[in-house]
Amino acid sequence: MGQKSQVSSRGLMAGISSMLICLGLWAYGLFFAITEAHQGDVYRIIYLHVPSAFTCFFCALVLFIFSIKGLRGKSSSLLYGKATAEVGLLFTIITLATGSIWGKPTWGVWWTWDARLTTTFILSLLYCGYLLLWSAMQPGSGRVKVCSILGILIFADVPIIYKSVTWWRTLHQPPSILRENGPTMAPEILYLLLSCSFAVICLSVWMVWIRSQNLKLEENLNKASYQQLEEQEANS
Amino acid sequence: MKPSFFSQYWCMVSQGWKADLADKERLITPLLFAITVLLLFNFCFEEVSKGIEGQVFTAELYLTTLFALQMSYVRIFVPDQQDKVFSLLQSYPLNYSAWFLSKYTLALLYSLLVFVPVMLLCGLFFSGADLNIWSAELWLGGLLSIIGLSTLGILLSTLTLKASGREMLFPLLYFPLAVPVLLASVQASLSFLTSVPGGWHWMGILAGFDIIYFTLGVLLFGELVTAV
Repeated sequence: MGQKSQVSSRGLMAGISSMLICLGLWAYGLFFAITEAHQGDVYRIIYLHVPSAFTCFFCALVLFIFSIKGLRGKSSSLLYGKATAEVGLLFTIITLATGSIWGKPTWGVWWTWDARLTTTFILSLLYCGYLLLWSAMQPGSGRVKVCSILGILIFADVPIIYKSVTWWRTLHQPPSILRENGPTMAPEILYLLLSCSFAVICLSVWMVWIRSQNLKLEENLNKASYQQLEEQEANS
Repeated sequence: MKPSFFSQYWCMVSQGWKADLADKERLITPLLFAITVLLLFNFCFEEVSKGIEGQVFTAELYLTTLFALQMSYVRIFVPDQQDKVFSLLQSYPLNYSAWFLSKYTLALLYSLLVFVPVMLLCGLFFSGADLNIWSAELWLGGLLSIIGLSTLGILLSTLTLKASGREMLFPLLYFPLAVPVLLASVQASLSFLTSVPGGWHWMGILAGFDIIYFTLGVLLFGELVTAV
């Protein structure tokens, strides 16, 4: 018991630390970082938008790994998979919202049927589909396998979202970090952006971990209540 | 003696085909639905201005096909679920790849039964426009899109077999996952119709997604039928 509470307090510390680092970096990005020459202060939203976008792709990769584990018979990976899909959905929504806020002053519209926006929106629908399927299936090994297979299918769609800005002529800017001739950004902006991305990914890992612990607890409570009901029925 | 892969495959294809022929409305309903959707599209668009005919043609063709095929795929296991055929097949020492391929062949056949008339009808509705619907590349693009959509249809139909609210869940998963195939086929067809270069690039992407989905289908179908 003591060991468990020690682990959870360590987890809590890790979570609080990553959250504080994220907040610190965002505050630095919003108030102290250099101003971008063309777009001005509105560009500062990049420190929230791009890390969220990286994190929603990262979650798709993590979901894929848990899905492979689920197919290999590790049933506990499904809980991690569900937690990853929830966190992935959250960051996809943040990406879409911040993209929309950024789009209004730069493109003049809140939303446009741009390839990157549309494909990211589709990713959010896929995460929703995964969570709906999870809820629609009876608990057991069947649910583990079925959801794992959907997790693999979702990951197959990530390349099209990433490559959409190079395949189509879109309003969204082409990749400016991961490109053949090196990043196009000023080093000050780039390093801060990469630090923010790393911090947000750490935060998402913690969120997945804490949510999966929550789901495990929920599952154990459900099992215990069913057992209690069965015992009551047997006694009566 | 255990029957060979091919005899297992052929037996399931012929039995599936017979079962579907016995219930003809299952074959005809998606086609009738497709014709209705096509008529509604044309009624809404009325006179299509010159220059965007190709775009409207491809949009109508693939959206109608996608909507109609969803009806086909969601019911692909209906004959198997009657008289506990599915449970019996699960208990036999069947080759799961043969089972998948047999279902896939039938799905491909039903898809063609929808796609070909829709393409011809679209051609008829746009007969005034300068569009070459008999171009071999256009039909090849259509065939490749059907190949991808059928694999996805089989996989998702098996995936949602035991899910509650299956009819609602299936399109929610099918439409977003079909987007790569749909986008690539629309872009390829559009470029062939309007003679804009880049069609083969999209055909490559389409073929790539077909291969990914088909490989996943063959690999995962066995896992799915044992899980549901």
